[in-house]
Amino acid sequence: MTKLKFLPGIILFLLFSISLSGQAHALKWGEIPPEHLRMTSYEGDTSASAIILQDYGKLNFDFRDTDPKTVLVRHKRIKILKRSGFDYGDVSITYYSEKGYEAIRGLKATIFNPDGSSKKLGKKDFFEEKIDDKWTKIKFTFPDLQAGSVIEYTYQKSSKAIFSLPEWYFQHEIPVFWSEYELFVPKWYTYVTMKQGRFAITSQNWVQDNFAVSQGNAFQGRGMGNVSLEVNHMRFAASMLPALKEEGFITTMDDYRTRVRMQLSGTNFSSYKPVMGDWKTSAKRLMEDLSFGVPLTKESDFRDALKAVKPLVADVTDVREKTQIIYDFVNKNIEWDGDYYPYIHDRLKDCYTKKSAASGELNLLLIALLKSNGITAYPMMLSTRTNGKMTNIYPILSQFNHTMAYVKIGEQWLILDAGDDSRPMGMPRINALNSMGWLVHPANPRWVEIKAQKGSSVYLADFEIDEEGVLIGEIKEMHKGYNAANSRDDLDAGNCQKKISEGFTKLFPDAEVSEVKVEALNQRDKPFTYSANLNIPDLAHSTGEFIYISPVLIKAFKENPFKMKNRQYPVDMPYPNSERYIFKLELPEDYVVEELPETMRIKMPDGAASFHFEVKQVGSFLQLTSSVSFNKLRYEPEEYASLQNFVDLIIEKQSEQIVLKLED
Amino acid sequence: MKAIIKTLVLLFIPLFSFSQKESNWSITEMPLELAIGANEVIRLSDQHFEVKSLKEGRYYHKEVVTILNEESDANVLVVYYDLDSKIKNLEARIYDAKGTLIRKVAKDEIKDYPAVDGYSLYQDDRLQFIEINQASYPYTIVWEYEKTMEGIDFILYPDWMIQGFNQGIETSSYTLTVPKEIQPQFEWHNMELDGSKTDEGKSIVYHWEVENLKPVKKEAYGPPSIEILPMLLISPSDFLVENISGSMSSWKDFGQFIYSLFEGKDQLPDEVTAEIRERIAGISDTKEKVEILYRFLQEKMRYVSVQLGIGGWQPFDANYVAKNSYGDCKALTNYMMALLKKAGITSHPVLIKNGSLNYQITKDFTNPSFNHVILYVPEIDYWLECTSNNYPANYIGKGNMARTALMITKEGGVLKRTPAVEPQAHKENIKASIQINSNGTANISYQSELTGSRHEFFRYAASNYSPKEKEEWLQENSALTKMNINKLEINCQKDRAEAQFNYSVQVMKYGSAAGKRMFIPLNQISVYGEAPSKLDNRLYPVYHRRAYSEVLDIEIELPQGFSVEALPFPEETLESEFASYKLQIKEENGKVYLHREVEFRPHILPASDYDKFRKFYRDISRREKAKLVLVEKKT
Repeated sequence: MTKLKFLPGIILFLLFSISLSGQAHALKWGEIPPEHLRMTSYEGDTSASAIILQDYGKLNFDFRDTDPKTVLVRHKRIKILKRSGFDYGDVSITYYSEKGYEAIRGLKATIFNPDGSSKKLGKKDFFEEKIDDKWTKIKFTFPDLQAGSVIEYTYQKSSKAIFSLPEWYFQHEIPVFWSEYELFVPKWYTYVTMKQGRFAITSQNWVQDNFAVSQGNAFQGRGMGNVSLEVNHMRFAASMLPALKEEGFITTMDDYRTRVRMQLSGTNFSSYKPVMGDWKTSAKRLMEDLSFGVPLTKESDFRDALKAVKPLVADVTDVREKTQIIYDFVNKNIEWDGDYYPYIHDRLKDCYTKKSAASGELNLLLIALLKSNGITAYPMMLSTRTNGKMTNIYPILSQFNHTMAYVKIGEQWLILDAGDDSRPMGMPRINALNSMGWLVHPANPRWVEIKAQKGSSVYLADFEIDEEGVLIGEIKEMHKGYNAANSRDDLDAGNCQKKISEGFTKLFPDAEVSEVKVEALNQRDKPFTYSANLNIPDLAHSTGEFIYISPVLIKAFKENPFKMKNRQYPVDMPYPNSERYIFKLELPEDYVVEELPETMRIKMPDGAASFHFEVKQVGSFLQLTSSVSFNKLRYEPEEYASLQNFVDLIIEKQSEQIVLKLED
Repeated sequence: MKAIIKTLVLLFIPLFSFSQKESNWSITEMPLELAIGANEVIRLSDQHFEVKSLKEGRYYHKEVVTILNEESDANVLVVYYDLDSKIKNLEARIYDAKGTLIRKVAKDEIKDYPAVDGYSLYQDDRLQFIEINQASYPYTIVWEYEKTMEGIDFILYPDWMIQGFNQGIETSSYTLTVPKEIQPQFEWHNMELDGSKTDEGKSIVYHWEVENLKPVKKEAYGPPSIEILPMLLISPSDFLVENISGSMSSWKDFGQFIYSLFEGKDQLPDEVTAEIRERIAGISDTKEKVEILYRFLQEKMRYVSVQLGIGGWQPFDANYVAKNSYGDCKALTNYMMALLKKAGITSHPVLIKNGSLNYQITKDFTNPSFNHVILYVPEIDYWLECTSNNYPANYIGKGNMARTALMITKEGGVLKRTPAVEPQAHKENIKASIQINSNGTANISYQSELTGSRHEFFRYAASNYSPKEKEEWLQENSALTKMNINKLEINCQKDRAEAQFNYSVQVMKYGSAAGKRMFIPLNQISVYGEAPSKLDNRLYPVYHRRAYSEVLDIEIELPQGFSVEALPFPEETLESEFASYKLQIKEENGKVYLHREVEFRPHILPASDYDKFRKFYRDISRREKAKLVLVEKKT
């Protein structure tokens, strides 16, 4: 039973006496309770521009065609509260239309207005748009939309995808008052259920006899028409879910969205037969798959690439060196096309002829080339950060969107992830830092931890200052790990010097930049180092008597990235990061130190992050050291305030000034 | 409207060429000076446009382009089409630097998508798209395709966009074949070629060619492409679209054609007629009537765009709009016109290009490069933006101002200028008082009054943002950090383009203490901190487009026990053709007063003044970032 307080002017929901007793959903098509029409704001979130009153889905199986299908009847009802919620009056339904794999039928839509009027949409109000060869979108908008309108629509979506049933999202960008997903699964199929999210989903499950299932020629011999069958009736429901608002520094919002997924684990036609199997059978099957394992050892599938590699490795015996050459070859010759895909789209050799390939294709070609050259390499599948968390409980391959190479060099195993030439071997792309990957080893498949390498940067600033307040000196930067890869990406070859110079000019608009020097731009295994001479006229202010200097030329944060007061979801950083700034200043003649910032040393609990700031005078020099380091990757909402505060303290400290005074 | 899509098509399609010599595309054959400063070189480009009749044509396009680096966009081909225009024989081949064929692009690499403009619910425009990726540069692509054209796509006649930015041209040509009953119109920009004109009996064939054009650099704050890149714009005289005939021989004729699309679409349902009669009963003043009816439109209507065929130019009828309470710019404008007509007030739709303006309409060349429709009421000289739900009557937004547009009358099209943008009409007056405590915390109260373009965002936020979203907006857009918001309000004048934005906040660590000193930013209330970047040699004039003014008064109350040690920039006046900046800072009785006036004016500066332009903004930025140094009073 959902309890609600009654507040004047705000509507009370009595309709949802949800006992979960297996009754059909409470809201009938076309019957809008007057209180829903009168409602002007939603108690649970008065800022909501619209709310989903009900989102109901009922899934049945249909066996009348050759391929069994699922049919999902969806009934959605939305209350528009404000003009800013009018966007929810524009609806689009996307489905996989290629070869009738999915289809939409029985689309109905009606709008009800507070004055009691209602309008039903006609056939010509629904627009069908072919997105590409595979996908189609149906779009429509409600006429006479007003603040106060209740809109509802229903449709049936059939799908031949019975391995994974349609996923159900309980949470949306606007609050959801009631969301329910009901499934009637014939006893022939067994599914595993995965629930996720911060909000409770009530679930129920019971077996119902003599349930009519539509069937036909798929089970010839049993005749056409309905047949009674035992079904597993499952029901998931959740109520009063808050709006899901996008937050930064996160893997993907889908990781936190309340939802339920179902995956086929077995069939029970005459006796139980596992479909999902286990990780081991999945690995075996993958290695026998024409778009995954088979081409890896079929040299005719990548002959051209192999032919091009051969002369490069002809005289090389060292495994590491050979691996490096092949890794470079793939990176230099084939561009990542920007798509994530864990398998081979078409043929491995197309990657080389087209000079462009999806993420998994690149690495599968890399593995094939390594293997042909006698190097041990296996595919490692994973879901990237933006694609979402993985489960290792069930062998669900559809969760993966990327494949990397796991390569043995001597006694060491390295992850190789081709796709751009700024990362050395052993450094997967940042999006792949999603804690683990599944090694597709035919004999011993297993989950392998993906440990993020650290990023680190050191800035050495060596300056003197004249009595006008002009700073003259040199800044030298040294970047390692992911920081090096990122800098190399930003400053890549050719215009590197110019880009560095522009970068400094952006930071110090009036500065003169000269003598830009770059080291190890292309040696990805080495730290990336560059330096420049700078003449900065406007960072210190001189009154003659006093000189005020902002000594931190390169700040850890320009502004606090954590601006919001509160946070609902964790902050998730991809890799640990640290930076150290060392500033050396030669004091001008006749000036003495009047004021120096005090030393500061702070740590977040458990050493999650730390900051150290210190300035001291050494003879005629001032020396400032500022180090920031983030060691922990994930900060829970409860830790958010202290993380925010930590960054504030750094910003504040790094903006403190040094005061010099003319000697009397 | 479709015209915008057309403009986009023409800008994005790499230029094409037809050639007999399927010759050597090795880069050694390419003049080096064409590649210096270029992202790509068009080795050869040919376009043929054959007008078959008043209503259909055939277009052929071939281009050979050498891609020099990853900055180039010419590795992508986009061809638009719709239900009336079809693409045929789209092909692409890739050659390496030596000119050896690498491969032919396969059919499945051609992607086919709906052309989504981002604001239409539905439109029938589609596009085909090929993207070529090669890991090593340079390489050469040969593109080739044909299009059969009808409908709006056809009657706009493909223009010859001879050169893009940072693009070298080896050879480029355009051939136009037109039946004699049609007299095409031409407008050259930044180039004028003689070409040839051949009589082929029923048709006239025009042909132009150009060779060896060096790259034109794209610069920040530079002129729009239409003012520096060579191009030939082409329009038809007579045309036929979905069995409606029209002409672009003059703006008058084209306006006549548009008028025919609007004609007879002004029938309103009886209940609407009754309701408006009631609303304006007893009112005699035209302005008042217009304002009432404009409110009526705004209360009821919602912007929804559906563009199908001639529907790109023809409005839904007023009856349909009344029934559904939605429409696009044409439909809502037509509906408003119908409402006014019922009240006995004459008004005219005005075709306009909304948003940033590249092309300026000229009176002698009919080039309908519009994307929007508004309404003009001559009797009282009022302009109405019928897609807005909250603008006051006679305010059309900065995006519609200061431009030439086409007014549609029964007698045909008439060019008309929309109101100019005067800096003083787009103004912000800010008063802030800041009280600083000895721990560096500040209590800030802020009041601003905004008019014209400066108020537009606040009007939008007032009706579309929740209180929480308003706070979030302030937190993200203010230079102030770490603040607690005590009060925040936005008010809009219903009948004037004015808004008030007030807030009071507490800011932690506004002043930063260092020993016995405290540093306080003079101005974090409204900061002009950005300046154009340094350039070694500026080639093109500087287009200064800002047009508004602001007066800022800040009163800073110092913390107890502190006095001013250093007061930066006590008085400054910076003056130039494009802006004025006046700053006064003074200390009086434990308070510091800042008074600042800025005015930005649209102005074009010669290239040689770039440094002056940059220095002006740098000088402002430096003053804006200045700090006040306080020191503890000696006791």
